[in-house]
Amino acid sequence: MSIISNSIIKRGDKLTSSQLNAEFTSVNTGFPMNKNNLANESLDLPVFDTNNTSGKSGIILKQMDMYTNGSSATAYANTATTYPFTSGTVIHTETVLYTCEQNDMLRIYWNLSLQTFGDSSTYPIGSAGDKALCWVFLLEWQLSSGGAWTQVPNQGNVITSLPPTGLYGNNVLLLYGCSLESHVNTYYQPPSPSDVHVYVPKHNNYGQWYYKVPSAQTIYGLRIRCMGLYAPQYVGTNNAIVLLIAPSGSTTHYVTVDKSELGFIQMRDR
Amino acid sequence: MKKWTVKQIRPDGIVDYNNFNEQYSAYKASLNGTIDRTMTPSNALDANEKVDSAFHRVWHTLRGDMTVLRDNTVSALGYWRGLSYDTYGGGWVNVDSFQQDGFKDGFCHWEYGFHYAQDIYYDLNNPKRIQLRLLFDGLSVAEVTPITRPIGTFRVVADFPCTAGTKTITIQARNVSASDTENTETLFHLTSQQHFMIGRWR
Repeated sequence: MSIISNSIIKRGDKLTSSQLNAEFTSVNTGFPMNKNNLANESLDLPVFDTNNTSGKSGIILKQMDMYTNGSSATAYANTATTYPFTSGTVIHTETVLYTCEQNDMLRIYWNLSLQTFGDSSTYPIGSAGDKALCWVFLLEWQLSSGGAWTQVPNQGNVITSLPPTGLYGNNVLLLYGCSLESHVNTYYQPPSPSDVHVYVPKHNNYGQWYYKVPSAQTIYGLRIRCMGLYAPQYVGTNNAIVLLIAPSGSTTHYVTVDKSELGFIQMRDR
Repeated sequence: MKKWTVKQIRPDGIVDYNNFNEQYSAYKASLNGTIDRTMTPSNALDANEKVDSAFHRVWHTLRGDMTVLRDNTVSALGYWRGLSYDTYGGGWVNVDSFQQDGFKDGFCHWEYGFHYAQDIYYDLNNPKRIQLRLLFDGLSVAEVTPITRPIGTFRVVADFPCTAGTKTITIQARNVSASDTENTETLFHLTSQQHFMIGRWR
C-alpha cells in the first residue's frame, strides 16, 4: 500500500507551481486506485467484529453450547395396550434460555452412549417385526418457562394413530427430530432354532435436527426422551414406525443410556 | 488530476509555504485516511453492518422417503416399503436428486441425515452392506461404507471447495447382489432424509 509521507515544506524553500504540480503528479502516479490497490485495501476479516474467543458475534454464529449428562437412564419396552401407552423415559433434560430471531438457523445434535438388552423368546422377539426392532430418541423442547414439553417442528408424536390399521406410531415424514436405535440383530441360522438374536455391546447412537425459525421464538428447555419398541411398516399410504406392545409387566427388553451429550448451535441463515 | 491552483496565480511565482502545507496535508490525509487499511480500526463492523450472504448462506432441505425401485408388494411388519431383490439387481442407484441454487465460489459444508432400514436376516449367508456416495454437481465428495445394522439413524458430513451457481445434489446407494437364498421384502430403505448445507464464501 502506498502511503504519502513527503516531508513538510520549510521556510525558505523556493516553490513554483510547476514544481508543485510535479509533486502532485508523482503522488497520483504512485497512488493509483486500480484493482491491485482495491484488492489490498478492501475490508478483510480483521475489520469485522468476529469475536476471537467464542465466535458468537452474530455475523455467522450466535450461540453454541454443549451439555453433558453422566446420569444413567433406562427405558423399557412399552407394555400398555391402549393410548397413550407407556410414556417413555427422559434421557437428558437441559434448562436453557435461547432467544431466536426470524430466519435464525438452529442445529441440535445429540450423542448417546447406550446398550440394548433382551432375550430370544419374549415378544416382540419371534414376531415378524423382530427383523428391525428399534428405540426412538425424540427431541423435545419447552417454549415457555416451566411449560409443556412438545416435539420440535417436523417431528411428530410417535404415539399417533395410523389409520386405517388401529396401529400407533408416526409417518416417516414426521421423523426429522429423532434418532432410531436398533434393538437386536436377528439372523437366520439353521438348524432349529433357526433364528439367532445378537444384542450389540455398548455403542453410540446419534441424531440431529435442523430448523429455520419462522418468527421470533424463545426456547426454555431441551430434552431427549426414549420410547420403544418400534418396528418399521408400510401403513395406509406411508412408511411409518409402529409401536409394539410387550407382554404385561415385562421388563425383558430395555435400553440403558449411561451418558448423553446435547449440542446446540444457533446461527444466522445468510 | 490534482493540481496546485488555490494560492498560485502566475507560473514560476513564489508560493507561500504555509498555504501549500495546508492544502497538501489535507490532500494526503484524504488519500491516506480513506483508503489506507491501516487507518481502519479492527473489529469495526458487527452483525448489523453485514450484508446478507456476504460471508455465508445456509440451506435446510427436507427430502422425505426414497422411492427408487420401490417394491409395492411389501407391507409386512418389520419392513418399510422400498426396493427389494425383486426390483434391484445390484449396483448404484439414485436415491435422490435435486437442484440447489445460490452458491458462490468458496467452500461448502454438507450434512446429510437420514434413517435407514436393511434386511440382514440372511447376513450369515450373504452379508448386506449399504454403501453411499454424495455427489455435488456430479462430483463425489463423500463415500460411506458399510452400514451393516438392521435399522438406525445416520449422518454424513462433507466439506469441500465449491464453485458458484445452481448445483445438482445427488445421493446414490448400493448393496450387495442377491445370493441363492434371500427375502423378497425390502432389502434396504432410506427415509426422513434431510440436508443441511453451509456455503462459506470468505
